[in-house]
Amino acid sequence: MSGEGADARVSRRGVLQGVAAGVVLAGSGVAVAEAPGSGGSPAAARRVALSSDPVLHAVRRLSYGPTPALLDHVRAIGVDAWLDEQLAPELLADVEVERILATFPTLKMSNAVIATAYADDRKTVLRELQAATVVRAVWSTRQLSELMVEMWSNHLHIHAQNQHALLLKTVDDRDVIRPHALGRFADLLAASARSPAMLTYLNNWRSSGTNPNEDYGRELLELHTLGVDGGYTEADVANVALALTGWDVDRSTWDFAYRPERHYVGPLKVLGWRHANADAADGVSTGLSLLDYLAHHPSTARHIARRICVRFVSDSPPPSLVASAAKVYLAEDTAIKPVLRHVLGSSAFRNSVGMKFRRPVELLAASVRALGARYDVGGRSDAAADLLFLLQGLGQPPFGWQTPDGYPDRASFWISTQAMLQRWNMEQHLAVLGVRGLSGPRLDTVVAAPAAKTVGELVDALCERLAFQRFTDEHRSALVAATGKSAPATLTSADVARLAPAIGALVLSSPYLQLR
Amino acid sequence: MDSGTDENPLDDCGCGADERAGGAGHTRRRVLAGFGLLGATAVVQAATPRLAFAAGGAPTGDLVVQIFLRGAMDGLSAVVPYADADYHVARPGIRVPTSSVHKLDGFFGLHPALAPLLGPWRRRHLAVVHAVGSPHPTRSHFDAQDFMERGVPGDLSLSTGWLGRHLASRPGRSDLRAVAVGGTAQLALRGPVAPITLRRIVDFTLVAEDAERTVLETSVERLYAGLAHPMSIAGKGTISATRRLRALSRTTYTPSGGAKYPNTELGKQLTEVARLAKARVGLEAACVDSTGWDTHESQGTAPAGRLSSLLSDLGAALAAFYTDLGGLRGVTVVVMSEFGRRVAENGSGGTDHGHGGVMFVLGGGVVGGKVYGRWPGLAPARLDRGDLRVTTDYRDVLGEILLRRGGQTSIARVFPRHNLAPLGLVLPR
Repeated sequence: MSGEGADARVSRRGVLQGVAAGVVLAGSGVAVAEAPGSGGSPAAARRVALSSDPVLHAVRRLSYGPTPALLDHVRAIGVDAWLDEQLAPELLADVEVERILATFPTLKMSNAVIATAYADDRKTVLRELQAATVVRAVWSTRQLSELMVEMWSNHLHIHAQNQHALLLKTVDDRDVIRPHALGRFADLLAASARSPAMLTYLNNWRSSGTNPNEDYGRELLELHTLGVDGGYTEADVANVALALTGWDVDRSTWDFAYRPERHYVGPLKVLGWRHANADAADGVSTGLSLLDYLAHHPSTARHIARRICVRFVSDSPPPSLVASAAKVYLAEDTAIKPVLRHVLGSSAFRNSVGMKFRRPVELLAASVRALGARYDVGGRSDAAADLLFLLQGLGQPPFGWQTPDGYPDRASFWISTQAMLQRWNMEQHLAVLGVRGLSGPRLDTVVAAPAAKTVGELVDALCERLAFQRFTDEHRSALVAATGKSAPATLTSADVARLAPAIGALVLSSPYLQLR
Repeated sequence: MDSGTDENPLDDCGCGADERAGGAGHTRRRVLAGFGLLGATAVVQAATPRLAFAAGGAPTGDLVVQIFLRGAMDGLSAVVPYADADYHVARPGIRVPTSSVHKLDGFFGLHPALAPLLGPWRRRHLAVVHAVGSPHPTRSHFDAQDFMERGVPGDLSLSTGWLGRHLASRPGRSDLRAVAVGGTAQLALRGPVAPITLRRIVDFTLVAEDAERTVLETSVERLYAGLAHPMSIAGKGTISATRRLRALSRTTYTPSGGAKYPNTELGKQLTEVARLAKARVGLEAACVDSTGWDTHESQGTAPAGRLSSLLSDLGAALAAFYTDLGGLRGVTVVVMSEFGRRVAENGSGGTDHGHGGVMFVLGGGVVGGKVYGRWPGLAPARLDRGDLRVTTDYRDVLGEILLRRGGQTSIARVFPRHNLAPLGLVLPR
């Protein structure tokens, strides 16, 4: 793993060349997908035969899942050019998302308007934000940006089913997380610390010089910046809380408000940061100076670098990659794009095919994307309600994690008997039973050209279409057996219409779809 | 965290109960059916079936149930040191008045919301351990829960949980030796004996017409068989559990002895454990969780407020479980939390993260009616950075339960590098 340092020095522009060059191998590679914790598996156990086609690998990781059109696009322009596009999301038209989100009026409102207009209809506010999150994951052209928004939403997590955050998270998502998702972490952190949703969720608005509340101060160090092993003490926690006293929320506008009379005055020290903090009038700049210090701390650099590596490489990324990514983070003044380019250009990334297990949101989005479903707007159709309901069953409704550490990003948390059952049942709903408000090509027509004439051809066509690869012989036999016929048996179009959804659901339920 | 959850304006779905129940178009109805909201279609009233599990004989130890209170329960409010003058000084705004506690002895009193536990207390089936916790000083929820459930404070070398190691060190052939109630298995159960994780027995089935379900199960089973990935084991366990639980899932359940579980997540979870315990499926360990205990603000004052409602739920659920399982013969329940809370109240009518806390041990084999532990005092000079000192290592409580009730013979296998100092709070089985 000592090669990561060398990777850091190569030209950023070309970091993905190795991946792009592998396109010619498409379909030929079969990758190892061995998740952490499987070390004790019997030697006879077979690896999940996930395709190692570099384009598929990149698209599985940097989007919520391949679609035929996206794969065509990336194959045409190359992975590097696609990454450039994705890192400039503001240049990408997002027509479909705008069409759908136009039906969610609260997304564009201020905290004050929401607080007034939705005082008696509070759950609509969160519902629209949750729906918008799922819609963007599935239909946005700005896929990498959406993945980063989700990552930061978990890093700076706010449980939105909370008394105040319920109304305030919409603005946090729009004005704090989204503008900075590919910007500088220091800016993101400073915005988050003044976010009314965060100030209420972690109780900083209740903290004062005479009666400090340590909730935010502790999580700021443990979760948002240094990390639990970042080298701080209980005294540092207490001083962070004091430094940020007076950072409050205005009870009429529900915007950030600074109240000097609640600010602690006196010298403060947090690790290497010292401040005279002599004048209550300067409490905002004092706090911002602390936040900027924390954002640039080497422990924070490691913490953020590790999170990005865990998001995009594996649950246990090589320490050398984390270290080199942390260097880039500091050298680039906490800018996120260079860190992403560094991680995505690493050999660890190239060699990590199948090493991430899809979380529920990722599986749901990947399935809907693979099916090519369209979100119907208007009338009584409301696919968002059903999609959110499915996510609730799977344990990952947007902003629904109860504690400030955000949804876990490791396979071991998401794998259980209950989880597998919910995953398979979700695919039955998407592919067989249908979700009201989603329309899309019927699976039998999708695979009709070239017409599948035998059971074997139908199975292969569905695997190619929904999993973007062939299955192993053993898995193919399992799908064939499910039809009650043999592979060479010929099919009528009525047979295809009947069997395609059931086999499609099995393809989507397979191990291949669980990995990204 | 900001609380507010007692005033939670949303149901836990985030999409509105009315939305789900009403306007059930055909598709919606089917979507819901698979997720259990409409209940099973053919519910049969019947006695609890004894499931025909792979023969393994009855377990040779108690069923051990871990109830984890996530977020750090305020032990000083749950079991109040009412005779300690420093308690009243430290908490002028949120103290539980001595007049309202249920006195357990001359020093400690039970929070009024825990009154349902007085029955088991008087029958000496409930023991309290105070000033108990981890020797590790962390005040981080996440680290403290992790250390506590793995059973190795401060040690990152062991990834398994204390119950996971207990199960792994004992013979057992049932495929339902351990159950994690919820969507994900608790860390305490992690180990080579894969637990069955489930929310509700009645919902634990693949969505399909009856005629198609067998094919679906067989197909999925084949897709997941023999892969070098943890999802392979989980997938296999899922299919086998759906088959095993089919008979149970088609019956309604009536708790015994007139037990009334609260209609809360904890009440429902314990109901599922009781059903499995009665079905004699070979269950040896179960984990359930209660959340929302991180009372940084507006804890409330007994008998009202946020902490009172949490304690009230806990007391009612435990009492129902105790009654339903006939005084918990052959069952030992341990209630724990990652740490206690700061002795002094904060400026928001709440308490920040602390250290020493409280554990409850409930069961037919418990030497109850007694508060165990050594009281370190609450005078400022006697505190650990403002927090109640830990004078009893939580592993001594868990270890004694496994050794005397759980059929464990080697505590070193479960808690390596820990010298067990039993408190004598359970009888040998």
